[in-house]
Order: sequence, then C-alpha cells, then structure tokens
Amino acid sequence: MRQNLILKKERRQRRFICISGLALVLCFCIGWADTWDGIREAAEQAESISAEFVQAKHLPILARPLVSRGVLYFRKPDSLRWEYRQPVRSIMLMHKGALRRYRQSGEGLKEESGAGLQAMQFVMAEITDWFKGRFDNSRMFTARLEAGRKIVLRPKDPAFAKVIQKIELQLANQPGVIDFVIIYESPNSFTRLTFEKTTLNAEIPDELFRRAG
Amino acid sequence: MKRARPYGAFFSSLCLCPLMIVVCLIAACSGLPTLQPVPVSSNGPLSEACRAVFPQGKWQFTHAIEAAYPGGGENLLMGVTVIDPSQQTVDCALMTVEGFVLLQAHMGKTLRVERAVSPFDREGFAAGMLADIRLMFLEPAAEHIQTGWPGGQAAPDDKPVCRYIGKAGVTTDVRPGSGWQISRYAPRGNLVRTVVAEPTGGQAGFPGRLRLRATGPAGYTLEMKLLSAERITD
Repeated sequence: MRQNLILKKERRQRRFICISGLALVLCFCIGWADTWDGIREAAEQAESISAEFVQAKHLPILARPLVSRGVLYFRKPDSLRWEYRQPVRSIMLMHKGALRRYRQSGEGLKEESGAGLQAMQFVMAEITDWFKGRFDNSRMFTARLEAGRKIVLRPKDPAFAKVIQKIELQLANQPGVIDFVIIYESPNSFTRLTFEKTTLNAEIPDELFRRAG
Repeated sequence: MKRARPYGAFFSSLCLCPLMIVVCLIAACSGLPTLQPVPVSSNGPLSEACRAVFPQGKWQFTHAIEAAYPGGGENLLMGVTVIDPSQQTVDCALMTVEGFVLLQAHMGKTLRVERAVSPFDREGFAAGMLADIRLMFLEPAAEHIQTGWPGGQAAPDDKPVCRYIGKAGVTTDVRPGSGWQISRYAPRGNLVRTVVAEPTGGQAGFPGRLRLRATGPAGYTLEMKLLSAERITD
C-alpha cells in the first residue's frame, strides 16, 4: 500500500517536472516578436532608439543600387530625427507635432517648405509607430506577422497600393530592434533600409530634435 | 477634359508672382544672336569640341537636383538618368531623397511613362522633363550645323559656338569648354533654355554642376549636382 503511494507520488513529481520543462521550452521558443503583444511589450522597454542606416534604392534602370547613408534618433513619445549624410545631407525633424525639413545647399542648411512636407508628416508618424511597436493599428496599412520575426504591411487603400505595394520589416533577435525594412513600389523597384549599430535607451538631448545643425 | 499642363507650368504653378512678368520681358529680349563665321580651318576642331560636351557611349548619372520656382519655392530631389546616344534613348527616374520614385520614364522613338505619382503625373510633365534631359546630355539632332561667334562682333573674351538648326526651326547653340553652355531658342528666336556647366567637383570628365534655366511665363531653375557618373557596358 505504502509502496503504491510512493510510486504515485513519484509519477506526479515526474509529470510536474515534464510539464514545467515543456513550459520552459515553450517560453524559450516563443520569441519576443511572435505576437503583437510581445512586440508592443518589447517596444515599451525602449524609451529611445538611435541607429545608423544604409538605404539602397533598386530600380530596373540602375546598373547598381543608389546608396544613401544616415542616422536616426527616436525618443518617446513622438520625437524623430531622420538624417541623410551621404550623398546629400537632408534632415527631417519631428518634435512636439511639428515637422521640419532641411537640406544642404551652398549656403549651409536650408529649411524646406511646401506640399511635400505635409505628406512626409504621415510617413514620419508611421515610422514612429513602428518604433513604438504599433504595427497593427495603422491607419494606412494592414499588418501581418509572419514566422521568422517578419512583419508585412499592405496598404488599405487600393489607390495607395498603386504607389506602395507592400512594406516588409525584419525584426532583429534583440527585442525592440528592427534589422531592415524593404519598401516595394513594384516587384523590381524597391528601397531597402538596413539599420546598424542600434542603441536602445541612450540619452538623446532635446537639441537633436529641435535643431538641424 | 483635363487641361494639359506643361512641365514648366508645374514648377511655376506653386508660386505665381509678378516676378514672372519681369522674367517674360527679359526672355522676350533674349533673341537669337547672329553668328560671325569662324575661319574654315578651325571649324573641324570646334565641331569636335562641341560634340565632346555630350556623353559618348552609355552612361548612368545620378544628380541631386535643387528645383527653384518663381516666388521662392525650392525642393531637393534625386535624379537618375541613363543615356544611350547610339540608340538615342533616355531613361530617367526622379525621386525623393528617401528613394520614393515620383516619376520614371523612357524616351526612345516615343515616350513611355512607367510611373508617375501625383502631381508629377500631369500631362506634359514627363515629356518636358525628358526634353530638358535630352538638351543636357544628347547632341541635338540638326539638319545643319554652323559655327561662329555669337553677337555679330567677336569680343576678346567671346568663345565660338556650334549652332544646331533643327527641323522645326528650333536652334541650339553649344559653346564648348570646361564650363560649357547650351542655349536653346524657339522657332521665333526667343531664348527658352540655358544650361551652364561648372567643372568643379566633376567626375569622369563630366561637370560637377549643371544649371538649367527655363525662361518664359513658366520659368524655373534646376541646379544639378553630380553625385555619380558610371559608364555602362552591356
């Protein structure tokens, strides 16, 4: 009788160890980017992001892609500095709801104005949403989370789909980090943005979002 | 019916101002200058020098383009141009610094617009842009080429030009040299386009900067900084 009880207890212990082990394995298998909640939670941990980027434009007429390089700084809630350094210097600053754009000219940095700036405001807002892990509540795109930490955004408006077919975002191993983004205008015309040296939660001074120079 | 809006009209439509009237008056005064003939012996090298202004072989150019309109509006765009003089073809893409293609077109015997995003999809815009590109990068088609000093009387610092007289009465003067200049006149003799090259910052023998000025009521200026020049071998 007593032996039976001991056996039952051992079986229960083994079952508990198996279930715990399985749960632990599952925990390791479900990555930070396997669910929208996981992505949002990871993004919540990042108060600021800074990175270098390489932009390669591919077009059928180009013998080689057109490469631009720059840096970006993002700080919650909505401050973004998107700066091209090569081959031309162009800076977009979004801070406290206002978007400004500057470009290098012979007389130094010049502020731009015009209708194009208004369109960029939407783009910049979309990018800040990405850094906040908010992919699934975009006004412009429907988002699908795919295996391998990949997010595919497709335009909701069919008219807009003629301009941008889809956007693919590849999330990194490191929670809250994007590896690269590919923006498809057509199957053979696309822009690949690769992020490098990404740093999370570094101190970014206000100045970087307020002044271009 | 959609009203045709030419390329130049697009650039100027953003900021119409009284300055345009002044520009029109100046343009009206810039008539086709008469040519004082160059001695026959120097005709050959001059024609060659004029031809050398234009790319020989297939090339891909990337420019940063600053567009300025009457009234002070300005934009920075990127332009990629592929020129094939042997086929007389031009491929071009106009895009934002972010790489977003606003206009992509091919000009061979006919114009083919492959992509045009509003407001760059306006009728006449692509044709006007490709006409400007042809002016800058392809030797003008001409029934007759003259050479001489413009203005009738040669000043000491004047340089001779090659005058390409086209079928429809369009005349193009090419002044060769490192800082070359191209002037295009409409059939009525009024100056409609000027392209001036600045050799500084050039690559592969091509000028570092090109400045195109379109005169007339829809005037605009394009400042083009050469970012890369690549020879394409098929």
